[in-house]
Amino acid sequence: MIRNGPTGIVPSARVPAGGDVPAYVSVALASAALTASGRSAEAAIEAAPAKPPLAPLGRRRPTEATLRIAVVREGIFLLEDFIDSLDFAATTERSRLKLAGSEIFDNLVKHSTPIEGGSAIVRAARRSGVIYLIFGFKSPSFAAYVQRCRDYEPVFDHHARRWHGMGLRMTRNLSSSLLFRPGSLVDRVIIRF
Amino acid sequence: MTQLDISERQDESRVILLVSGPINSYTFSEFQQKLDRATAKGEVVIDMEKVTTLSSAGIGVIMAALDDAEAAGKKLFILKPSEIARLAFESTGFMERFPVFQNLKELP
Repeated sequence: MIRNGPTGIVPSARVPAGGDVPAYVSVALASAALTASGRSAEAAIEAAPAKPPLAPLGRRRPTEATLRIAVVREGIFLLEDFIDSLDFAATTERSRLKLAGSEIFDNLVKHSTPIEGGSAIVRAARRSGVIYLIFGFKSPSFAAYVQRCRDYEPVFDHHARRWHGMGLRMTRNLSSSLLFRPGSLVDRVIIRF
Repeated sequence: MTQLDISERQDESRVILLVSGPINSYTFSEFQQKLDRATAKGEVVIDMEKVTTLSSAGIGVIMAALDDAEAAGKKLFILKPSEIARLAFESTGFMERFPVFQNLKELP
C-alpha cells in the first residue's frame, strides 16, 4: 500500500533535498537514458557515471543510477531499458524492479498530470544489500490519487477488461515497502526491495 | 524500443500464440486484439517463454480472455511463462487462477 507521510527510510540512498540532482549526475534530457554501468545506450542517450570514479574501473561496480524520463506512455520502454542496465542488481531483482517500477510509472502517466516539467527522475540504488527505486516528480494531483487508493482492493472491470488497483497490489507484493512522500518541492514514491 | 511480437500457428485443434517482448501499458492493446482474434477460433495456448515483462494491464487481458473462454465453453492455457511473467502472475496473489503448463503434452 502506498502510504502518505514522512519517512526516513532512505537515509543512505542520497535522495537530494529539494529534488535537485547532484552535480555529478549528468541527466540526459527528454528521451535520454543513463545506465548504471556507464555503457553507451542508444541514440540520443547521454550517459555519465552515476558517481565520481573514486575507485579504479573494474574493481567496483556502480551501485546507483539515475534517469530523467518524460512521463508519457512511450516512456515505459526507456524505464524498462534503464532497469535492464542495472548491473548491481541480479536478474531476479531486476525483474522485480521492472514489474513494480512499471506499475508506478503507469500510475504517474495516468494520475500525475500535469506533472511539473513533464518529467520525473528515477533513481535506483543498492545500499547495504537493499535496493531502492525512487521516483521524484512534482504533481498537483498525484497526492489526491494516492489518498483515494488507500485501502483500495483490486477490482476487475469486465467492461473495460482491465484491473483497477492490481498494479498497486503487485507492487506491494514484489517489494518490502512502498511509500509516497509528498514534499514542498518534490514528491517521491519510494519502493524498497 | 523493444517491440512486442506475436505470431500464431495452428497445432491440431489449438491456436498457439507465440508472444515475444514486453506486454506493458503501451503494448497490451495489441496483445488484447490478437488474443481476442485467437480465442474466437477455439482453444488457445499462449506461449510466454519470450515475454520480457508483464504488466497488470497484460494480466487483465489474460484474465478477461480466461473469463470469456470459460463462458464460451472454450479453453485457454499459458505455456512456459518466462521468469518475469511467472513473477508477475505470482505477484497478483492468485496464481492458481492461471492455467500454467510447461509442456504442450501436459495440456488436458
